[in-house]
Amino acid sequence: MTSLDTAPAHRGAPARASLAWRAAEAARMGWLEYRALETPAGLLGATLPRGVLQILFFTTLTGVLAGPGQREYAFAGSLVLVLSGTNVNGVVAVPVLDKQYATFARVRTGALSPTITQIARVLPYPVMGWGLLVVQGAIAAPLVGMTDFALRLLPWAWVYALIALTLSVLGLAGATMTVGKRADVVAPNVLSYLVMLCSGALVPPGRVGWVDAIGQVLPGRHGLDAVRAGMDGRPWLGDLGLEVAAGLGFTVLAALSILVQARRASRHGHDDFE
Amino acid sequence: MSGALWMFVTAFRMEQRAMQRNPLLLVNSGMLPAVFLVIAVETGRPEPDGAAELIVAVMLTALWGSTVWMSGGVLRRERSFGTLARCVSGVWSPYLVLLGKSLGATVTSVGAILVSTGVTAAALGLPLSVSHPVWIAVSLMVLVCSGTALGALVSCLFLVTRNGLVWSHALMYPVFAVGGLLIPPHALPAWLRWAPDLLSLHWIKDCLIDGATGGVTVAPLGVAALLTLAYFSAAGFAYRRSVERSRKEGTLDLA
Repeated sequence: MTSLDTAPAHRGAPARASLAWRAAEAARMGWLEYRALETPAGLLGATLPRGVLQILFFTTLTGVLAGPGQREYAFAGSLVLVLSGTNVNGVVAVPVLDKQYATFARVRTGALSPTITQIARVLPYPVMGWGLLVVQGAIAAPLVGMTDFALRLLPWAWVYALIALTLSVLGLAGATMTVGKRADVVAPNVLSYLVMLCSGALVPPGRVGWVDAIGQVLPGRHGLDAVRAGMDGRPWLGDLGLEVAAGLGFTVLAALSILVQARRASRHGHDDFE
Repeated sequence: MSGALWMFVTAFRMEQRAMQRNPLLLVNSGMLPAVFLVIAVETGRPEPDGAAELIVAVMLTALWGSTVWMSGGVLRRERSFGTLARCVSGVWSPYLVLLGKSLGATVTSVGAILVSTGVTAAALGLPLSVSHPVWIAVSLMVLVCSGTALGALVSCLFLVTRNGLVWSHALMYPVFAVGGLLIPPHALPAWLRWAPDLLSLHWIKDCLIDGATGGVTVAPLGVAALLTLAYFSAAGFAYRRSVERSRKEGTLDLA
């Protein structure tokens, strides 16, 4: 709990409402918010084709710039860039909607910790982002003549699910750290471009020192290394562990940021972040 | 100064001021060209004679991204701020306000993109040369006009949807992929090689490369100018029709 003005248990809640039940309700609310923002028309007419076009663009561009040999490298990497769009940029909606509709007071005074509430509300983004990614990859692969490669990549789709989670907490951390400073639009976009540049999705590691250094701490890079190592028959568990560590690191950052935000709001008596 | 011109200039200056405080300027006109240029160069470093083409292609790609979000968002922002109804009920044509604002956004974007691309290219050690400064200046003027027209056209699209932000994301990559900017037309599938010809930015790319490398051919600039006029006409028609429909249905701010 982060404030003294915590609400009593809701009448509608089961008598012995567990933490899991409350978190599940928060996730259900997140799903309703997601559906309100991502209408079926927007999802099928804009978000889905955008991902397909991103894969086509980055794979073809890399083939033009670095030769056809690099297209497989770029195809695997472009999937992370698609996830970055749906997750790093997508989850911004959670804190930003609270800011727009002045609902953060409800979140911070609830019986459930605001950190858990916000993380639960974010969950639809990685789940839907990963589901969309599978469809987008399946559509894009034959269009760039890489169906065989996509089928070889398929057993590693679960690593992309992990990357979807880690990128979502990156987006949440970025948005919550900046929501009070009117930079909540810029921060996720900046993070998204940093992922594009530093995750090794397109630029192979070892080319630019500072790009590699940033990539080491950002989600996406190690997960992608794990996929590539696994497909080449090299050890991949270490890279996977580093991806989990990066995700946990940004989860802690997001939690701290929500905690600071809630404490500040409680102390000042308002949730006006403008 | 006549009333119409005064209104146009005021709209231009107002949008420029608003743009200077818009964080998306930093993202779309600052970061996007820098990141794309670093990726393009470090993925496959170009030959010295191919550097100009790469820099110009990145610049124009960034301009399209910026057009979608900045000048293309003019009417979306008018609707969000509740000022659209005031615009379309003024004495002068609301299209003048749209064009003035679109021009203001495009000029600011082009300036930011030129700075960002130039600084990044210099940091990457890419050779920067200008063989025909006058030709480059003329091409940039056509580029600004074309960006203004494209921005007005995209802006009108957002009048007919409530999901403007979602569609903004989706509009970027079709042009990135098949606009003939970073990916040359010969790398596209045969059935798509006509697509870049419909985009003025593709023709302006040839003009700017000519200005940087030496040869000057007028034809691409002429095609770009004609396409720009077509975009202006289409935007004017679309805006008039959208406003008429919204007036009839009484949904101007909720269209």
